[in-house]
Amino acid sequence: MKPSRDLECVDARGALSARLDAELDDERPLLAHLERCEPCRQHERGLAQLARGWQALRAVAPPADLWERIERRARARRPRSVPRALRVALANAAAALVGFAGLGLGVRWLEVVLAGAPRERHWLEHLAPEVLDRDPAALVAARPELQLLRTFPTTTPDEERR
Amino acid sequence: MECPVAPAGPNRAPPAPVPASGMDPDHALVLALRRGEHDGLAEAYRRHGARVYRLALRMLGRTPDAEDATQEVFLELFERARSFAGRSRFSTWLHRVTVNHCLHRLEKERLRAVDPLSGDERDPARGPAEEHLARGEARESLELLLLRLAPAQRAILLLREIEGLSYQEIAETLEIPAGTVMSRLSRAREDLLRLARLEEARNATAHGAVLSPDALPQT
Repeated sequence: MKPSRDLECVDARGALSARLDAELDDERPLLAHLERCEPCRQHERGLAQLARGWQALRAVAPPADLWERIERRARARRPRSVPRALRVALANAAAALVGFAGLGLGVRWLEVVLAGAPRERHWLEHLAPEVLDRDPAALVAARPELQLLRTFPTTTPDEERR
Repeated sequence: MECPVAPAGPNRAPPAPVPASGMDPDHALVLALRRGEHDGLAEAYRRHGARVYRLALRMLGRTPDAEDATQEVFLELFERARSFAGRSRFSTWLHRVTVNHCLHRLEKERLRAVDPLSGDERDPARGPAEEHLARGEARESLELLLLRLAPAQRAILLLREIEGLSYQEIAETLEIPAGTVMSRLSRAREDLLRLARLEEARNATAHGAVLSPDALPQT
């Protein structure tokens, strides 16, 4: 730290702190300030007394069984093999793939229906007659529930009666 | 598994500042942790456990909290070792994880204390320092004063005074510019002295004096 030649008290306090950490390059401006500033000399004495108190705070040790507790918990867990962000991205990609696959199947099914498969067309006429003259991909995108039609019976009531 | 911790006695010198360049002395340890080896975790605790515990204790002020925080830090270390990019020393990263864990914990505690629906019946104005005093524990006055500092100020003072980190290492740990470390340390020391002055004025004999009256700042 290189304080100016004519230090203010606030700069002198900063210089005192830096000197305590051996980070002050030139202490002459600080010494000049201290010569004429009693409050900063008191601040210097206060810092010196605090410095002596830090030593006692270093003298602590963890309890002897703390490692055992950590080890027990660590063995109950597995380290994450893949970072969290990557796992989230993979999960999203998988969900998107499933969605696209479902959409593709729905479109394919509608294409078959609209091409003239009579049984499926029969159910479609009852459930969503307005879709028969529209583009299959747009229909499924607008009404994904249409994919559920695949779970319906493939025979018409007339065929069952026969 | 036996895992003796490096001794932390009163005469134990703070770790020497490490040079900015060169091989990280914990390099092999990091590789073992990345492979998910429990021996790597044991070695990490043997080398750094006392430091993490000490920092957590001085940050949080309560022994059970420090023990819990130390466990959480090492478990997080074990799970997140792969995310350690190696841009700083492993010990710097560990200090950062510890400080951030403690700051997060203190913030949660503060929010819980002021939330009337949290069920926490602790007085929001009563931190660990006040609890020690209320129980009549004869703690070091400096320790109590430290616990009254703002947590961020406490962290930077502890990294310097207790852990012996250089300004550059503190800057890397707290992810702040190196020039900011100097001003923040100076401000934290001033605030600590101000608290000491207030404490001495309030109760000079109840729990020991940190500073002599002559050393108390007048401004």
